[in-house]
This record gives sequence, C-alpha cells and structure tokens, in this order.
Amino acid sequence: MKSEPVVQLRNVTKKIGLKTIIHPISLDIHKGKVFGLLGPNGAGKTTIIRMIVGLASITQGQITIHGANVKYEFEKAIQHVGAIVENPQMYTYLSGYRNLIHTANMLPHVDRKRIKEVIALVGLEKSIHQKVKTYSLGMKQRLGIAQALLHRPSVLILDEPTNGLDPAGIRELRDHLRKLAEVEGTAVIVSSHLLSEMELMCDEFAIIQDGKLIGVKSLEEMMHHDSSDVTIALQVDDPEEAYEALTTAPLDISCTLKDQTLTVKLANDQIPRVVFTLAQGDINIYEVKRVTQTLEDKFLEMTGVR
Amino acid sequence: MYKLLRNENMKLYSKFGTWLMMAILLLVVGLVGLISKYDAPPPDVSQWRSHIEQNIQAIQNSLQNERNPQIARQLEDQLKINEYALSHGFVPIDYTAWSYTKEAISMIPLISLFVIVVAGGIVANEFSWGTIKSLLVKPHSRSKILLAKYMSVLQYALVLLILLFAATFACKGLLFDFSYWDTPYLSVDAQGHVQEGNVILHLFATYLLHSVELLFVATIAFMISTIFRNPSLAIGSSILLLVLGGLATNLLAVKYDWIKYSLFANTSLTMYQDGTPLIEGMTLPFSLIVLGSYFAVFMVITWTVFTKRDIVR
Repeated sequence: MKSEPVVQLRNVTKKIGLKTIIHPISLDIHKGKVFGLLGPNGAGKTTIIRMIVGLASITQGQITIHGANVKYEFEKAIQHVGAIVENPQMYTYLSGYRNLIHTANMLPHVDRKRIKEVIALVGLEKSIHQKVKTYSLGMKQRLGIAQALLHRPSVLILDEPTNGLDPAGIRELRDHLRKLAEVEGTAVIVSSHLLSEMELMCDEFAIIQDGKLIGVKSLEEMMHHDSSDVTIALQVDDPEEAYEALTTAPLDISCTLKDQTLTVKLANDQIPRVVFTLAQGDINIYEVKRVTQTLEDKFLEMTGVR
Repeated sequence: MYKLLRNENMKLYSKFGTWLMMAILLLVVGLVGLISKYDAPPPDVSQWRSHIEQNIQAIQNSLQNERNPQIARQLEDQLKINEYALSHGFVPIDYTAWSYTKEAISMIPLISLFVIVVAGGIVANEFSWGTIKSLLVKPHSRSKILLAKYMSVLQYALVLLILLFAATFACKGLLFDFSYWDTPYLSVDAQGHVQEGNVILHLFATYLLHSVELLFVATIAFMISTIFRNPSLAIGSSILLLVLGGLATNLLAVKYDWIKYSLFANTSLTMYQDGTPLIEGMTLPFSLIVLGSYFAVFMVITWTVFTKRDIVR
C-alpha cells in the first residue's frame, strides 16, 4: 500500500571540517504520514532538517523532494515544502497579517482569499491586525503554522514544534498535524526529544543518536515488538519468600525485588506457571499487573542510555 | 524579484527609525535654511547684472597674468558663460532658490550615515531575529533575496537624495522666493560654445556624482553586515570608514604615491571637473577602473559568503 516516498534521503552525510556530524543516513518519508525524528538534544535532528530545507549544505549523498534534488534544483524542490525551523520567528514590529503578506509574496499562487482561509484555520481572526510583539507564544506558533500552510505544501517540516508550548497548545498542534496528514495527505516531518509527545503524534520514527540512524520503526512495531516478552509486577504478602520460590523454580524468567515489589520479566505463556508456583508455595497473591513498556522505555533501551 | 523588493521595502518602511532619519534630514535642512536667512542672507537678485559685470572685470584682470593654460581655459569659459547670461538675461543659479540645493551637496555625508544604518542592519537583523531561516526556505535563490535587499538599500539612498534635493529647494523658496527657478544651467562645450541645460537635471547629476562615496560606504556596510551578521559592527566600522577614510587618504597622499590605488582616493570624481586630481597622473578612467575593481570584489565577497553559508544557530 505504500506509495512512492515524497521525501527521500540517500546516504546523506554532513561533515564540518574533519568532524562527521551526520553519518550516512537513508530515509523515506511517505504521503499522509507523520514522520518523527527522535533523539536526545545534539543528536543531529536539527542538522538533518536543515539539510532537507537547504539551510545547511549536504556533504555527501542526496535529498530529493518529489524527485527534485535539493542541492541542484532548490527552488523546484522547496516549493512543495512548508517549514518551521526551530521556534517560528516573525517580524515582531509588523502585524500578523503583514507577516503573512510577507510570506505570501515569496510563494507561488497565494491570493488574499487563501490568506483569509489560513487565518481562520488557525483561529487568529481577532488578533491578526495586531503587531506580533503583542502575541503570546501559542499565538506565534499558530501564526507560524499559518505561514507554513499558505501554499498548501505537500510536505510540512517542523523542527521541535512543541518547544515552549503549554499542554493545550501541544494537543492543538497534534490534532492539527494528524488532520493534515489524514485528510489532506500531507507528509509531515517533525523532530523532537519529547518522546511522550511524539508517541501520540507520529506514525513512524527514525531514532537518531550521535549523528547515526539507530533505526526506523512504525509506532505499532515500537509498541508491540517482542510482545512475547512481557514484564509483570506482583503484589504478594511476603515478597522475599516469593522471590525465593520463583528463583529456585525451574522457570525461564528473571526476577527482581525492589521496594517490596516483585518484578518478573518472562514470556507471555509463562505467566500462569508463575502464579501456580507461587500458589503452591502458599503465598497470597493480591495483584498481578502487566507493566506496559512506554515508548520512552523502548527508546532509552534502544539508545542505550539505560 | 519585484515582490521580493516589495517585501524588503515593507519591512524597511514599517520601522520607526527609517522615518526618523528622514525627519532628521528635513529638520537639518530647515534649521540650516533658517540660520542662513538671518546669518548670511543671499546676494540681492536685483543686483545680479552689476555683480556679473564686476565678476567679468575680475576675470579679465586675472586672465592677463595667468600662465597656466588649464586655469586660463577655465577662466575663459567662465567669462563666456557670464557674457551669455548677461546678454540673454539668465539669472545665475546662485541667485535662485536652487542655490541652497547646490550648497546642500555638503550634507550628502549625513545621508551616507543614514544609509549605513539601513545597510548595516538589513541582512544582520534577519539573522539576529531568526527570520533568516523562514526567508531562505522559500522557492527563491539566495542571490535573488540578497539582491532585493541591496536594491532596497540603494532605493532608500535615492529617496533620501531626492528628499534633500526637493526639501532644500522648497525651504529656500519659502524663506525667500521661488523666482527664476527655471533659469537654465549654462556650460561650455568642447567647441567653445555656450550650452543651455536643464537646471534640475544638472543639479541632480551633480548629486549623484557626489554620491560615489555614499555608494561605497553603503556597500561596505552591507558586506560587513552579511559576513559578520552583526548590525552594530557593520554600522560602527562603516561610519569609521566614512569619517576617517577620506581624511587618512588625503594625509597619506602627501607622502605616498601608492595611495592612488586606495578606495577613498578615487571616490571624489568631481576632482577631475575642477582639474586638480589628488595625486598627479590620476585620470578619470583610472579612477573608474579602481572603483569598478573594488566594487566587484565587494560584491563577490558578499554574494559568495551569503549563498554558501550554512544557517545554523
């Protein structure tokens, strides 16, 4: 079902002097998907985004957008892209409307009607003629999105879009991006170090660390991969005894005892046998709880921080 | 390209400072005009014929003792113009409202100062505001974006020159009178015939000729602004050049011959009209080549730096 990728990175490398900032990376970003670039600060997400939008040069490899090479056919490639790199920056001494006019003047086929449309889309009708210096961060963010969407780009690129937003703002942005991807078929690329947010926003992730691509996973893959291996937490009346009983039993499990909580990592089909073993040892079981691993745990596991 | 220029102008003229500088220029024109009204009133227009006759007498006297053929030639030309003016009844520019406009050429450095402020900020500010990123991720080449900015600076310089030109004429006219404003500008052509020219065209051409220095300090401010992305540095160093460049060049010119290759030795193109170049042997084509080379170097540096740079934090 996957179509031709809209944005393609092929062995993209960035060197500054002798130092390699980005090791060869290849990625495909598809229509109608929200693609996340995840990684700790300084991992190279921003550098990758800057190379895609032509702000930073590409040392080796190539990036194409709708088949146009960013390096050699920049204007052709970038006309499909709406981008906010880092926080949206505006001319604060101009009104929101003039900022939009400024952007519209640089884009093909944007008329007054479309400008009105995007103002309504981001809900800034009331304050659009005020100077941007009077705007709150959330309003600036919405104005930034309006600017990025003016020419109905088929690729939307947002660098750290949730930075500085309050939870309501983040939620609003998330709904917006999902809608764009699902309804309009826009390919969205976002970067972030906030996993919990990306978890709700993205369909696919590339995990970046130290300028290297660690892996590309879809959300389902991330969450349900090796689902045969689960972790359960047990509440029993005598944890020490229970620990003793489980470690001596002939089971293929690993137990840890910490703060009176017994945590067991095991294959899914081993759970009844654990319960059985404990019951046989005359230990009272109050609760058997499955511990779902969050994306964050997975992420930290993959990047080897934990 | 037109829309890019319109964007630059929108940003420029939405700023308070841009209008403040125009207001200051008008204020200076008004103040100097008022002071001259009471302090140094202009020659009486009704007396212009007798003044010219006296002048003719003086020129004829000095011509008899003049050995230098170049200066003699200039004096003869002046003589012809005076006689022509007398016989046709053309009041000389110095007796009309244009006299202030002509004198105000000495205010062009003030315009240079204002243009430096604009040129020094126009690129660097985009970097300090962070707006450079949204500017460069649009379907326009970086060269075109930079060109729109440079053109916007030159346009502002032209607006200020026109403002100075019109304001001085209006000021003088209002304080005294506008009569004889359409008097022709008289000059002598290569065949020795007196020619009548349009006074407005002549004066404005003179303004542009005196604006070579303005063009170069603005270009240098623009270059520094692009390279170092720091408006204060660009403005400060360019003002320093504006103030000290000409002065240092004149001082060094006394001792060293090589100074003729420096920029500021060549910016006063009017020295070839007056017939006394800064260093003997300098000619107009020489100066034009030197100026052209500097201009080309500045342009190449500015454009190369801007189009090749990685935009990082």
